[in-house]
Amino acid sequence: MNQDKFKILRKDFEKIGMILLGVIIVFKILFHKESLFVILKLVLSFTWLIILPGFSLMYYWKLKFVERFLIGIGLGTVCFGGLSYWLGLIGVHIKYHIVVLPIVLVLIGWFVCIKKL
Amino acid sequence: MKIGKFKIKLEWVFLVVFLIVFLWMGCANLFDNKISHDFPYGYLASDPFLHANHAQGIKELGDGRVLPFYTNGFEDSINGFPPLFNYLVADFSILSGIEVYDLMYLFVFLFSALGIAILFLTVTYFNKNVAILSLPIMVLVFTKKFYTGFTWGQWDMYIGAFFLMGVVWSISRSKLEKSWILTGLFLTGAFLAHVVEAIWGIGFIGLYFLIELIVKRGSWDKFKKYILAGVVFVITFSAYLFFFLNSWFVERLITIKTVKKEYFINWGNYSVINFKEFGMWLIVPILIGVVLLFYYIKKKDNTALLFSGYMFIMGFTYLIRFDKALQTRFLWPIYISVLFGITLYMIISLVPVKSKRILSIVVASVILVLLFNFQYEPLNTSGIMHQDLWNSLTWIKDNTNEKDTVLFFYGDGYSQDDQTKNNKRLSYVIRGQAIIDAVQNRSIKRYYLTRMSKENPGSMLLYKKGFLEYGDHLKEADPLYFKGDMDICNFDYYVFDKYSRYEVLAQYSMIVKDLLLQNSGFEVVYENNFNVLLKNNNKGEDCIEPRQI
Repeated sequence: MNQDKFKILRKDFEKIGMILLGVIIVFKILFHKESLFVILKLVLSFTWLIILPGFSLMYYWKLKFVERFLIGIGLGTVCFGGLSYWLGLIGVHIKYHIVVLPIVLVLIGWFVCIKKL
Repeated sequence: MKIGKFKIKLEWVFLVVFLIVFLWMGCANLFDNKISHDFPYGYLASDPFLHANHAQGIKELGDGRVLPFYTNGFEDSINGFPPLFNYLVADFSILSGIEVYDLMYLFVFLFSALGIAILFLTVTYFNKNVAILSLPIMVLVFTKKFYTGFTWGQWDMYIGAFFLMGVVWSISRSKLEKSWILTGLFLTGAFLAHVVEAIWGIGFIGLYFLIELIVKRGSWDKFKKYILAGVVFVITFSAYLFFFLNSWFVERLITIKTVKKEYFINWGNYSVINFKEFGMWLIVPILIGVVLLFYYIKKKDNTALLFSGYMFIMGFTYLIRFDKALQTRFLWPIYISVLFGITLYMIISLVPVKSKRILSIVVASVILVLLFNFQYEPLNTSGIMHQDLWNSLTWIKDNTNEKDTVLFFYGDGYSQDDQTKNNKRLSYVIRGQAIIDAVQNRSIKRYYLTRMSKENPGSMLLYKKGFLEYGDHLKEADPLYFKGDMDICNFDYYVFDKYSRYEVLAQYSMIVKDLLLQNSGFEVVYENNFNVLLKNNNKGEDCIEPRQI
């Protein structure tokens, strides 16, 4: 991966980090009776299962960050949820889905990123 | 707008503020400002429990091929409920450690907010000020009858709607290379979450294509894209297709053929959401928006506006017996918001100010405040579940055998019987009317009209007989297994409520409980402020003498 691609990726993931920080703060305000630990678990789970896979896959298309982020959530949800259903049908326990699927989807995304960026 | 080195896009700042208000109005209040609760919190009907039970079943079994035994008393009945949301929540619950019942409810609101963000993004391609002005009316989903879609459990619909917004976005960006992949996948998401939204999506694609072809004089090339989207769609949802065709589809056909017109006037337990729910001061601009839609029909990037008009019309397809149109109306405040936004924008564009963006934000904020003050009533209730009942159900789950059966005597909330499934045991509920009749006749009986708290997709309970061949337990099993006059001596455990809104019914339950305890086979195994749980050690033997009291 050349320096330019790395810069784009770094910038994108800095933005994602900022958004997640903002979401944690907003959630802590909205759900102020909840412990920070639960909010962190929620946000980090969402990031791992949906945001990272979806955002990575969206590198296939040349889009603005906000488009990639928002539509990536939709894509991440359908890819993770849909594949989880398919794996469930062939009898793979869901405890493996939460590890394997995000890794596979992010790797596909990185491959796309290297090709497309 | 530039602040220092940062370039601020006001429309996005407004969206973020709006979404915070949206979540605060929708779920932060309802959840008592907490994410995790000691029991399902804010559930106001049976259906929310039904959805949470499905995801919980997947979490417990490790996959969703069959329903847990306790849902209907069979080991092999297929879990044919729309799978995507249930799997998603089960996966999240395992990873985060947050309970399924908390996550699922929260996600309904979160994905609604994300759907709004995607719709907003799509409207910005048309006009950013229209996008801003469309937002405030959306909070009406938390008012009056609209809110019952959330609190009474139309949950799959909200997730389907999220994907439907994705479909609309992907069509609006159809010039992107291979955008059909996204269109196809979002259709699949909608189908696997709630089939109706996939149907709306396919209908909209068809309409959009026709408008492009006829009004905008587009080419047939796009048709190829939609075909490819269809191929992606069919391949990715195919695992669910065969089951769907054998269950939900059949049920829907029967509904369309047989249901009388009265059903649509009082749809199920819901009162129909009428257009007048919006109030005249919103109806007029929305109707003007419909007229403006035709004015802008040739304009570039008007996908969201067309979608808004399309969903308005689709809300009336119950007239051709598509009853799901009435369900879709729960989301009308979001779907048809662009019709409202475009009208306001036309008015604002007549005002001679320099920054239309700031004026749009001011106007949208004023409307939001007005709606908040005059239409919104915060809802903060624990719902039909409470700590004592939850403790009783948990006790049964933790202290009884997997195949033990449980009979619920009269309880004010047990007509919403999916909540009883939280005991993870095969459960039956005596019908409230049967107890009322017995009280009126002053009689103690051995047989009462009783119903299994079963969960079955599409009015069927399918199981696999062979390759692509299904049997139906509902048709094949003895009907008395599910519902009928049942012998109360034939259960392992009994749940009695000490209190009721109707004191006489609780008193009656306590009399029956005391009579059962006179039998040596019965013992109290658990008791709290609200419930008494009995165990029957001589299941099937005589346990009570019918008599007058």
